[in-house]
Amino acid sequence: MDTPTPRRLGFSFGRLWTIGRNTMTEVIRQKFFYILLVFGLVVIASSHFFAQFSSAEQIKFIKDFSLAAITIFGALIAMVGTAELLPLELDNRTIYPILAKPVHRAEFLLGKFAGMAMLLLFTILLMSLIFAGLLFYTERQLLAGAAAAASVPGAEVSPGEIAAQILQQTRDFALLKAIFLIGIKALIVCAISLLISTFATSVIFNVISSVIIYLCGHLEAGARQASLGDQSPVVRALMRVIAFFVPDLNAFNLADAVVLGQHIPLRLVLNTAGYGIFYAAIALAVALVIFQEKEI
Amino acid sequence: MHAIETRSLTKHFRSTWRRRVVGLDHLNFAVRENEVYGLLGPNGSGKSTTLKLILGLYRPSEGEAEIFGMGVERTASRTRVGYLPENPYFYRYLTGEETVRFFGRLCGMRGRRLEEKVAELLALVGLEAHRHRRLAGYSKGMLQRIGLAQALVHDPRLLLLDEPTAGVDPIGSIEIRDLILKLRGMGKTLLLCSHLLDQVQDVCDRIGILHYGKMILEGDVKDLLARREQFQFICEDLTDPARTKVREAIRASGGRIVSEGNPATTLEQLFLQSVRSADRGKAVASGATRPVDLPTAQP
Repeated sequence: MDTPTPRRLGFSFGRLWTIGRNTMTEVIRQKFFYILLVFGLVVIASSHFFAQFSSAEQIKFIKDFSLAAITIFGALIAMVGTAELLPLELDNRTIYPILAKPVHRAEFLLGKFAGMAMLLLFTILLMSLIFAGLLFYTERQLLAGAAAAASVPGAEVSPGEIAAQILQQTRDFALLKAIFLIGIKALIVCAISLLISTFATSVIFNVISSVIIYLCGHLEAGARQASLGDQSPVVRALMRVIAFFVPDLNAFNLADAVVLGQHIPLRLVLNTAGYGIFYAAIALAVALVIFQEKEI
Repeated sequence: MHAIETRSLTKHFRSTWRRRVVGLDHLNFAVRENEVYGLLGPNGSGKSTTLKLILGLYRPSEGEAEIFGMGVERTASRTRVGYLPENPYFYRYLTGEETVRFFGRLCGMRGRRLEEKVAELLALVGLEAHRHRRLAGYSKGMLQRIGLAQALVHDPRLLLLDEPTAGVDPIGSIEIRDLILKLRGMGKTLLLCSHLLDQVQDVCDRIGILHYGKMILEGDVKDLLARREQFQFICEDLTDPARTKVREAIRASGGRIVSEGNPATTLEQLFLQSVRSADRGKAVASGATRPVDLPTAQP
């Protein structure tokens, strides 16, 4: 006997996961992803060859260069990958048979976000592994060099001291905190790009808008200052708008503090992550409202 | 309860310069359970708009639509609907089997039940041999058939088929027609949009003709097409003297012979016969064609 049609259909994480997994496959198969990922990995690996300084500076350079590369390539993959998600579904009409099934639009959109988020996690993890490998390799090289230098009669610094200095720099827990916040920042970029794609008519427009917001996000603290300063009322109003709507992406940048060896409190990291997750959630909520009303 | 019912369903679109364009104009129609309903009309008449409204992809400007008594604005209304879009595009990197499985999962199916359903549907649409092939390598006819399989994966009571034979060769087209008849035999209700009027005539119980977003004609196919004032015999082995006697009998009873002659076969039958005789005794060369018997042409 035919089962009765349910009056209400609850939100399903199973459907969200199905869409998310398929989104991952979809983005992985695109050329831009490989190009950006490979380029990112090559840039990180190449930092070893650029660094020809003293041991302390060499490690600092590798950290600075690699964290910047993970940030930039993570953000680029987030922007370009997300910008294409909805337009591709609409242009290829693959969205029709999906939304013709008992699938909530929220499940579809959040599934797309989840797929992209998983891919970003994988990408950042992969780049971080290469970074860790490079750091380990450099550490071994420097330790060997230090041991050789210390064995020379009349050396001023003991091998133990040099080794401790090197290990303190390479095995730094703050690096994980910095990478964690880079991941959160990429998620914010992904959410913003998904929000734009719910109303944008072209991928190029979406990518350009995301880049502008990204850049504004790094100037947000300055904008907040400017909105209180003594500029013209128009400039102040503009700065206030930027300060209100654009997230402070600079807050997610711990590279400088890590390179300088400053202490980064865990509370600061968690607060910043909370701020990022809250911002991404707001962007997704607005995207859902727009997508809910969108005529496919 | 009707499978589909629309009341004053209207859709306006905004064109350039914000001019209002009527896509669908106060449409009232109903599809009964276990019937094949053909929605006909020229391009831009509102057929696809009607389907998109029924599927909740568009929001109506006015009026309402229901599926088995449930408003189409509810996602739950689609638990009983399968949809085959015009020129279906699926993820080209998935295989036939993965495609059906993907849509099955979206309908909440899992495990053994899903795997059995996937196998059953691939067999039903004749794509078992191509289950591990990516859709990028499928022909148009094969894509339509995999489209039908995904539409059927959650065993819906209602199927909406938008131009199911668009771009498909005559044999594939007849296969899809046979499948539609098979589905009706399984108790499904079908709403079919098509330009191929001969095919609609063959499979539909009722039709509606849309023009400029309005329903201009609706009714049973047999009633609409029957010419009750005329009658025809098709005879075999009738000799000349017998023909003369028939003519005389008709005239004597007050009837009038409008036309007589040898009935011509249809181009469809001629095509099928030619392909069938060419295939007889030979293995089918391409994977894109059917490994199964060719369908039977309808008289």
